[in-house]
Amino acid sequence: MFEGAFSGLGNFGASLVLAIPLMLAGLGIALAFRSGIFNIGAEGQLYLGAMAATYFGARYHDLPFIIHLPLALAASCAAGALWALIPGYLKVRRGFNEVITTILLNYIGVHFVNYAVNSFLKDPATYAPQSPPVAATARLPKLLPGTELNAGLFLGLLAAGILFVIIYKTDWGYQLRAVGSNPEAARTAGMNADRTLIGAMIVSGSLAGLAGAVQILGYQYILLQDFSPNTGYDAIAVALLGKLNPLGTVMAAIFFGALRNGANTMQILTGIPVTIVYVIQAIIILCVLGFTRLKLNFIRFSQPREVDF
Amino acid sequence: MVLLDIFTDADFYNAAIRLTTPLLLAAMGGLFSERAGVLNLGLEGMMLMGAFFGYLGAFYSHSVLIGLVVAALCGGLLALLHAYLSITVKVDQIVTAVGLNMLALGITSTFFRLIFGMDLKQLESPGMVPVNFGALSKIPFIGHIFFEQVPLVYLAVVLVLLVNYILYHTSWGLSIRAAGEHPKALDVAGIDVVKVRYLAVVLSGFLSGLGGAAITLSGINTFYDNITAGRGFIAFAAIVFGKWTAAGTAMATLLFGAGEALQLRLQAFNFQLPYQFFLMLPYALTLIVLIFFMGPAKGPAASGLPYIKDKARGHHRRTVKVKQSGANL
Repeated sequence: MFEGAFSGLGNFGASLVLAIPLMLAGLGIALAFRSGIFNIGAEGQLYLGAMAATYFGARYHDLPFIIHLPLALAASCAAGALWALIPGYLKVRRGFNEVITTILLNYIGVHFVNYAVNSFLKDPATYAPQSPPVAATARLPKLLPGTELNAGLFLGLLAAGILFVIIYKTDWGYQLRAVGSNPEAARTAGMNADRTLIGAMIVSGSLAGLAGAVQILGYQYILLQDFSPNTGYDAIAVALLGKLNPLGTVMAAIFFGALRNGANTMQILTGIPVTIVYVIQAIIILCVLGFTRLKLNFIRFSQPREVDF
Repeated sequence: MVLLDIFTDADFYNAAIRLTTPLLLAAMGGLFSERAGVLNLGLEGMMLMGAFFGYLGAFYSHSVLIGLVVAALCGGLLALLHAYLSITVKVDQIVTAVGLNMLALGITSTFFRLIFGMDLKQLESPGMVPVNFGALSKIPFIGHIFFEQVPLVYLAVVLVLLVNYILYHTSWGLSIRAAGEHPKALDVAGIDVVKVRYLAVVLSGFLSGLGGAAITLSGINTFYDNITAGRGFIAFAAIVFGKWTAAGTAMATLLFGAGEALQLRLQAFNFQLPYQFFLMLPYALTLIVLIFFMGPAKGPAASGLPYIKDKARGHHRRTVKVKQSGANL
């Protein structure tokens, strides 16, 4: 497994490729957690982001690269953010628990994308449920010859850098952490907790949408049915393992990417099912939770939480 | 009129009740856990454990009963882990549940592949057969709906009454409710909060495990990856719709069961709409009901909060927090 994950440039590149979506979605989740909103909806947001990116990427063919790629990326952000806004709005305005709404929206989103690849996004040239390939002008450039590694890695690192600055160096970041650790106190101090939560959801959804986009524009180039099972859920583990810290999340994503890539190799070589990764991931989450309980306690986790809708 | 055809067909109601059963069992379990103050989003994983190991147990033992027992035990095992982490170690209960659900998905998918290999031969285990009520089943329309169901369906219905009775008419039920509303008071009364909560959570695991087995062992008698497909979450949502009462929760699960039955029939009728929209239906229905028909409702005050016994007198930090949660928003 270790060999498959790290040995040689090709393998390491493949690990990084798998890490990119986890990184972006994980960063989004980490930000949402920080503000005290539990966004389990990355899966659905990621699917819609991928759909939007494919739509714009495959539909236009004569746009210059400099416009086409950013357009597709921006569309994915918008789609992810929109999908995240629904639970955000419901929580802030109606007091509904975001855990249930995001999970329901995950299923709705995934089914909707599966519908898309069977209908309006379907490639007319084939019978298979898949979209036409994304135009070359909307693809993320490759970084290293001979590997699948693409410029999505820069997006992930850039997002991590920006989030780091936002969380630790800006007023909004301070508000976000304040609202996350004690909403009542933040309100008393005159902060607009609702606006902070909505903002966190928009950023979180955008990043999840982007995570979907890099998967399509970075190396898959076509949108398939159920193209990315559980990435949005795995990203929760990534964010937790990274202790909701941008740098930590990047490291955790690379670790999980290697884990997945290694498991793929292991399945080919030894026949041990790749699903063993879920078991390993789950054990990691539970152990990290156990060991870092005190640390996490500062971030709302032992705070009184409402279970009302 | 196709819709009319569906609603006048006894088969639809029969299926609605059958499809409600897994949700109902899990939701009743979840209700215990919720009422005792432990938020149990791990219902999904517990159902998945029950679904797989119930199938496996029935497959190897050639006995449905053994399958059901195995299902309950495996659901209970995962619940025990949930209880340990959220009650004893006191980690966040939602995050714990995310981990446990992933663990269940990993364990079931991995074992499934290791045991049955990659070829998807549909190996059927023995499954439950409908109870024979003799003449009652022969009643037109009604007979098919109410008297041609598998045994777990009747167990689930009895369970609703039983849960209601336990929660409101026994001292154990009072302890459970107190553990969720005001654990401190329960502690002062000399009852071990931790014990009450452990029992409630493990019970929820047993019932969710049975709920999972109700998916695999009542007709299709086989398993595939992630077969529960979010039903555990819907069961959790049903508890909230039902405002933490047994009867309300049961009605809510019935709504989702009917949604699923409708979805299956609409697919079969070959409508012009693509089937993905029908697959969405139960989830969309849940969301719509939530948005348009539910006002904010209050759950047990101490749900989601680990209970920490005050070691020294006059150390009021934790009590203050519990009070806060009641006043929160």
